[in-house]
Amino acid sequence: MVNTIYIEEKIRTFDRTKKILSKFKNSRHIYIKQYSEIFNIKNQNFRIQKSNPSLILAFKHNNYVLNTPEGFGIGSKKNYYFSHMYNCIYDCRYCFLQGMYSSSNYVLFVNYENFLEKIYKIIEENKNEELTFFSGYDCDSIALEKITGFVSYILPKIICKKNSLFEFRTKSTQLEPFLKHQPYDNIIIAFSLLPEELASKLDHRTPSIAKRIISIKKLSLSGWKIGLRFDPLIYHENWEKNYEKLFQQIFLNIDVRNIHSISFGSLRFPKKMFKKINKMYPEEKLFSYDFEIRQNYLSFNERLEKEMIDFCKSIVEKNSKNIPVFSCTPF
Amino acid sequence: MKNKSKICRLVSSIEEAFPFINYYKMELQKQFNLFPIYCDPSGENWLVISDENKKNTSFATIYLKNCSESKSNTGWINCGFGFQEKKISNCYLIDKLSKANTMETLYPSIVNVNFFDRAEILSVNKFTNKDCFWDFNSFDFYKTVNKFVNKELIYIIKISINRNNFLDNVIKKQHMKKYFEKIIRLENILKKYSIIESESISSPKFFCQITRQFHFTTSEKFQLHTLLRSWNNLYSRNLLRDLKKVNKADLILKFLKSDIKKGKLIW
Repeated sequence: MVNTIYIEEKIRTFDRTKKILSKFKNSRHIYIKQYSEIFNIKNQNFRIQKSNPSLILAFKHNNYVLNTPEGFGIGSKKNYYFSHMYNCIYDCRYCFLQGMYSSSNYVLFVNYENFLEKIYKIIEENKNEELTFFSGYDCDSIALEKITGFVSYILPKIICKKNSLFEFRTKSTQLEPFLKHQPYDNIIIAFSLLPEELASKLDHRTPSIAKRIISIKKLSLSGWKIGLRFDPLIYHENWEKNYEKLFQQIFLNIDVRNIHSISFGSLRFPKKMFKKINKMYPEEKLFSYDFEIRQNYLSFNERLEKEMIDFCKSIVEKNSKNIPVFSCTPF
Repeated sequence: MKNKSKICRLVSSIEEAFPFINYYKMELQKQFNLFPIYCDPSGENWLVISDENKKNTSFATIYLKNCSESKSNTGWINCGFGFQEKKISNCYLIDKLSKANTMETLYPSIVNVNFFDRAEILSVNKFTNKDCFWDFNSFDFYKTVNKFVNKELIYIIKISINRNNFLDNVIKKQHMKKYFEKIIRLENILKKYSIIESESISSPKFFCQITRQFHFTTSEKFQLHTLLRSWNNLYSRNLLRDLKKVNKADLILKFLKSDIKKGKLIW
């Protein structure tokens, strides 16, 4: 339950603002000049806020669509991401957002039209190129859909864009915006997955892996293209056994013909971010591991990373040779 | 070792202080004579009485911080009265603070508190007939305290009374009594946050025993602190037994580093 909603004066009269506010009958509304007054200030405790985040409704003025970091993609030469929200309702211990923002309050940008305009502009400027747009980089794309209605707004407007792929990355099982429509080949619904043994310890407040797999099954049966994202791959005792079990669960339930792609990403933290997160959760075992420092990132050692990716790829290949597999790493 | 909470309170008068002094069995700390400072026997609850003077608010707050040796894990409360034209009184948790003259605005963070009515307040320099909820000290208190603790560790509680009762100590006493139980409930939430914040600054298990037994330089102590944090998360055995054959700080650090390197992530 959101107890406090901060609202930028500028968007006070927007219909979308009013609609969102109508969903929170008992919340306290506080009007502010700009979201940064609440969100960007120092001396706030991300961990305490995370136990009951406030919602900040804001207007985004620029940077609607950005280039993805190097190494992030699923085949297209040009990759972009857009975030209608900052922060996430889930609380995954390895998430980089914990180290990136000083606040865990949710910022929701209500001017969705500007995001769409920019997407159209980029498509227009790159008519002959294959593009991929990712949603779900600074937030979970779908988890707060009942409040935001972002996917419901944008989906019908992007399904016709033939040279562009759109990936909605999520851990959520809220599928309504997709199930309401017929499937389109340029839309991928990508699920982040971990072995259940890890998810139960590290993915706090998320749907269980079993529930996520049921959702994937439902979507794939309706014909939607599915992305399976094993990002991050996390080394742990019995990792081979646990990842193998996870793949078995997946391939037992999902028709491989509807899997658009699989990608693997290694666990990595920029050094500064790691320090901040580690300080926030000093009792967390994951951060006590003796990580290697490579190019200013903390990660598992290179050999181990490769071993994990190769192992997982080999299981995928055993089940199907036709699924495109990608690695998302900054190195 | 169990982490403890610490709460510091700033009030403007003895009427506001009295319920806290009574509840926590606080005693006047006579060694501190700039402002009256009270503390309970556990050393976890502190209180300073400033007056309504704006300058005194900041001085008294900093003075209490120093006297109580407060760190970044201390919770801070400013409890007192706000004034208004209305005659009906209520107890509010303040979530928006503005300063008269500059109209600078601050937003205290309220996390997990849904049993308190909330309000915004204007901090003024002198008695005013303005038709709003106002006080003298909350803005300066918040601004001062937020320099040394996170905003989740600061609460401003204001009981609204009619401005004509500005000097009526009987009414003030009655209202403090009326809302005190609710205030204590809020303090208990703040205590939990103080404990969470303590986790990141408290010494890890074995730290005190090891530094008592062996000489560590300041930088070695810092390393020991970090390494012990990791070691304790990876292993549950008694480290002191392992260190029986090791007798120097650098060897202890070497041992910890090598043990952490071997550590496995088992959940």
